[in-house]
Amino acid sequence: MVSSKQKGSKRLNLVIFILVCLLAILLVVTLAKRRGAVEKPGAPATKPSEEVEVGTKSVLLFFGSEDGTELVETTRDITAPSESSTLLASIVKELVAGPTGKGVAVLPAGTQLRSAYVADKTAYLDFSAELKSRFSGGSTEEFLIISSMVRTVAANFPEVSRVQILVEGNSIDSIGGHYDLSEPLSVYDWQ
Amino acid sequence: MSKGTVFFVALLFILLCLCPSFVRSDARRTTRLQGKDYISINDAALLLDATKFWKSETRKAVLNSEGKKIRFTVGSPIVAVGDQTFVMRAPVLFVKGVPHVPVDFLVDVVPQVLKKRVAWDPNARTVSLLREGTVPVKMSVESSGDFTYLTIEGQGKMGFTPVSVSKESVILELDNAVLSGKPPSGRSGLVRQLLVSQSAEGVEIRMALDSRTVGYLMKREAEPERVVVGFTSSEEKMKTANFVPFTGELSRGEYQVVVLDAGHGGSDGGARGRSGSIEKDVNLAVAKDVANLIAKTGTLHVVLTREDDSDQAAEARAEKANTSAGDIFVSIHCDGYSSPDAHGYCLEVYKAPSGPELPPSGQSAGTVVMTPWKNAAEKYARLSFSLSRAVSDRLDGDSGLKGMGLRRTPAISLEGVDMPSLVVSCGFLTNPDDEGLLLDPASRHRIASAIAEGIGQFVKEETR
Repeated sequence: MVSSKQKGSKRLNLVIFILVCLLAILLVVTLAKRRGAVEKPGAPATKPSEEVEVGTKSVLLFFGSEDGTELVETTRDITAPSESSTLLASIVKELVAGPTGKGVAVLPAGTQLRSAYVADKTAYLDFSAELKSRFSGGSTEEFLIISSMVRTVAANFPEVSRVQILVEGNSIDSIGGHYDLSEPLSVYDWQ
Repeated sequence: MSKGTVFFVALLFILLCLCPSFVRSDARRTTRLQGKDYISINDAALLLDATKFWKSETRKAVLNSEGKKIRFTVGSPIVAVGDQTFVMRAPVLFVKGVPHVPVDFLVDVVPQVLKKRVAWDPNARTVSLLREGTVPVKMSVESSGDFTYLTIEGQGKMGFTPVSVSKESVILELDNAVLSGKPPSGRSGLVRQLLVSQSAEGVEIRMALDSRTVGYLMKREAEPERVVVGFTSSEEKMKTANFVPFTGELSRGEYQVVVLDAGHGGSDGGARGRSGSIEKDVNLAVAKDVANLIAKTGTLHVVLTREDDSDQAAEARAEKANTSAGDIFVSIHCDGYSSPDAHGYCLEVYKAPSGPELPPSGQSAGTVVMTPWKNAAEKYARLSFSLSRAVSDRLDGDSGLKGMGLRRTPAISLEGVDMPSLVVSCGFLTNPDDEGLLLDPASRHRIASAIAEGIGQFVKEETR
């Protein structure tokens, strides 16, 4: 029969053995990290494959205020998959649908979202022709249209840094002649 | 197993947890010896990923890196690499059994013989190996008489972008650069203030200049990579020394031409009002009114980008403003919104969009091309703000319009306009009250007067 003292000693040995193993692992990892310390610049991090699950999401939407001086923020619960491009489309469609509480719809009547996708930190939003053809506002309306879109995208997709607005699949000079949309917009500019 | 052993193992564990910070560090410390900065040859070897040989009999050390043999002799400032020799500013010293080489070697000699680049931080007293493609740069400011020069030397091809060069602010960016050595001191000659900041993208230099400065010069050289930015306070010497005057910063009394731009026109109607009013027509009426008022003063010449209901692209308007030698540009618009509640006037000054569209770096020699055409208006940020304040003061007084505020935007109307500029939205056609004011000639005249007076006030202030 093994005495309790021997048993205790065996357990202690086990603990020390585990500790030493941990030390060894730590040492190896640290040394390996140091060896490979010089990263290859510009190597893109591989995107983990996204799990697609459909569920209810609380999303942030930004609409224009009544007096046109600011954006109003609302939260809405929607059912959407978690895959970026599909989620983006669902969120922008909510924006197109307009506010239910405070704020006003800023998009011209009849504007629809044709498609949306996220690629390489840029969100692409493709709208129907009405965005441009039915626009009859001034710089304030154009400004709020762009701000509300960019802010909405940025608030729900922190990894996105640029937004490109398209009409009927093409890039356009501007919606109403006030702000240049030929290049993707930086989220930092439209706060 | 005794308690002592357990304690010892635990201690070892703790020590090894702390170890990573030493082991993983890329920066190596330098030491001060005989008044100069030195680094041990072991650290130099680690930084350069070199193998090291030491012959104690002859007191010679050899570092082997990138296939090149670098030879040092203790007590000598001479370094031999292949068949080249370099003289360092101090000799190799033997301290505590280890040869130490001057930091100069890493900063000055290494770039001439190896591909690796090292940056020296004299404040933290460390040297670190730079990521491939990063260029260490050294800066210095010298002044003599009416001239002050900032010299930037890079140990490799640098990305140089003059973001803004105006009397108020000079902002220069060096892509993928790392400042090596001491940054130049804050004040020297015409440079009132100099701030250097380092980010992952590179180095940003911001300078504030003495108000006496009238012109600048930018020169780019290759072999060795060097950028020289010069400033002068002498108008006479400027031309012969190939300096360029700060455009937009005119000497007294030189605001002569005001360019007024009636927004939209032709097939582009602009905003539509509740009662059928069209923005392009209101814009033209206001612009013509302002033009008459300014011309009456007799001190300013007015140019209208369009005088009738014709189509004109924004680029053509900017072109016209620039070629007319305009000194001030004001674009007149009316506003519109999806809700009739929005009312009041809005002002906009140009803000260049940020983003990946970085302007191209300068050419290899000669004067450097400045800000991209589209962003020209941003050079006049301060003056444009000043103009906006003068105009808003007047509009607040008598126009009947509420002030909605000032926005900094990448407005198309202001793209490429190479002078202080402003967009004035004179009220909302979608708001019944504002529309009333804009369609009634008397109240519209009051709005136009306010804009004209604002411009006049701005000219007066800037030519004081």
